[in-house]
Amino acid sequence: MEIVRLAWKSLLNRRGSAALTILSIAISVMLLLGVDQIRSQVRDSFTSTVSGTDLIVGARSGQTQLLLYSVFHIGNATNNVDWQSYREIAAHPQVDWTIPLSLGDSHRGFRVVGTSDAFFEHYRYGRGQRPGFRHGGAFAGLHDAVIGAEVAERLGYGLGQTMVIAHGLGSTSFANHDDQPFRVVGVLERTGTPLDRSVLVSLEAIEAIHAGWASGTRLPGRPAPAAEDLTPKQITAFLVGLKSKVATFRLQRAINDYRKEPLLAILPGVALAELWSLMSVAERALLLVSACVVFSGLAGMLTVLLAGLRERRREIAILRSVGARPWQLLSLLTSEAALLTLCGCLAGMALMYSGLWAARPLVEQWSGLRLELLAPNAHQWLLLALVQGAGILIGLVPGWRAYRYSLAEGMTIRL
Amino acid sequence: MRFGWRPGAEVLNIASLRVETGESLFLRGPSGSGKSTLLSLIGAVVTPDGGRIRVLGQELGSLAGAARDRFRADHLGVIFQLFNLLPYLSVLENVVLPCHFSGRRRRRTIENTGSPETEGRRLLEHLGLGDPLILSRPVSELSVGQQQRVAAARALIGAPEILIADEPTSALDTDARDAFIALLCAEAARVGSSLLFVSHDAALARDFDRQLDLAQINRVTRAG
Repeated sequence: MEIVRLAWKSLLNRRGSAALTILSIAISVMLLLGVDQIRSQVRDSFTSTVSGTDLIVGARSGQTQLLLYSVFHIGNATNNVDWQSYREIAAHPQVDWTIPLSLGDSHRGFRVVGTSDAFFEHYRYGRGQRPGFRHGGAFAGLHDAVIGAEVAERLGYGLGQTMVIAHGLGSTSFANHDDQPFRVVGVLERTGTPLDRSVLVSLEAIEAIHAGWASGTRLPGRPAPAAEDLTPKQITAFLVGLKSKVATFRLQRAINDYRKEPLLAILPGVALAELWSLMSVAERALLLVSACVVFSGLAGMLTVLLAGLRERRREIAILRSVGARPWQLLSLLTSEAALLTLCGCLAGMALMYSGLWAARPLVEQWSGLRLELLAPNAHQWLLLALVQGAGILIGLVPGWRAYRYSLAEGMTIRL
Repeated sequence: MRFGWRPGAEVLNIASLRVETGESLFLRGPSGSGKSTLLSLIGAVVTPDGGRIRVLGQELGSLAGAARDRFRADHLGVIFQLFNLLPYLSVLENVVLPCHFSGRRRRRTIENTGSPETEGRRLLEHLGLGDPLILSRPVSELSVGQQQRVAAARALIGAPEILIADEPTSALDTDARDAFIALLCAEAARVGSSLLFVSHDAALARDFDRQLDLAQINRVTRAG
């Protein structure tokens, strides 16, 4: 312990170069941990978005694409599902519940999702939680809307707020459904999923605001027919819950072989796994780059320690003369490296968390991902331990030099 | 006893040299005559190529490396010519440093005055450094004379049997030098340590029990 205390005091005496070394290690640790934090949070957020859903069904495309546009609101559907097909599959004896989803409109950059009451009853996120209402309740009337927590916060909307839905998905749109304003009747609690950034309305409402439209625009001189059949003709996708998991693959095959139109049914878990395997290349590359940065930080520390050793031969001789054993000199130098690395790791964590905290609003705006300041997980502790271990190993190099000096030169001080 | 730093280049070849317990010996020799090497041999940092060295009845050649380290830590106090102190420790921390490496010397300070720190303060006071203002100053701000006295206190703490001083006064002016030697001899006598004082300056020899010219006992003769 005395040796560590000496190492600490010796470092304090050289605090200028020590601080720079710590900073370079801290930056590298910040990168390493930051990459891993964001990686694991993205995964958690994706995984928690679909909970309890057995199948996702949409028009035939790729399974990753269907997964992304239907629940994560990333990208667009290329085709729709006919209402009749939806009714038929929903009536299948193995099907417990279905949640229809109709996408394509937006409100000030937030996506509008047409769905049914089944959403509030059956949709689950996280570990099977049901999204609760912070204010109000589900939509009852045709022009009622339920908004996600993020929408309410960002736009400052409360119950009774009227809003106009825009045709298409841009944040500014020239084609507005301004003849049929909606009224907010419910605000959802925060879920940490894309639901926070969604505006939910009924399928009938989606049908109503598009009545009288054709080819993506409103035809002039044709007022929206008032009392018309508002049964949807098409939806974008739907989520399916089964009575028994055993039937999952059978129903999936049945849907994929559906005769009347080309459909695709995917298992969310399998599709997510495919998505991760796509992303893992990029993740690994990022991790590798940050590991290289850590290595260069530690190499910088080695340079500083070795350069300093030349000037510290006197210190070594003095310690030797008062009775320090060679192995104690080795541990003195090694504990200096260990202390520098430890301070670097701690400062790196502080930098990483303040960085995450500062980047939160930007990241949320760009990607919808809400970054949390979570304690390091097991993997990140392992990374930290590896960095610390590497720091100690590197410290053995100047430690070994000091050991050699102390044996070869003994107590003689060479000026 | 023979020794050379490199094979074939013998520095020391001494038939016999004996220092009594409690004796203060002044060892004179010009620079490069092998004085420091002799001290390294007595300090068991290096081992002789031939012959034997016995210190306190212990054959140094028979000790393993770790045991030699331990022996040095327990029984030897060293004062160098210059820059004896660790710049990042306080005056008192420098003085008590040997007690961290030798349990024996630590125990002795506790027996004597209760703790290494009180013993260190007492020694510093004896050497004229009792002023708390001096104690609190960084060692780099002390004068050379003060630094050497701090080094002396460090060598004396825990009453090691042997004190080795390697030209400790060469950077001091005459008055400081004489005062330092008088203090060192008095303290060494008080704790009962043998003092081995090495210098090229024969004028310093008068305070010592015995003086010896290294050139007379060293059978290695060298030009220059």
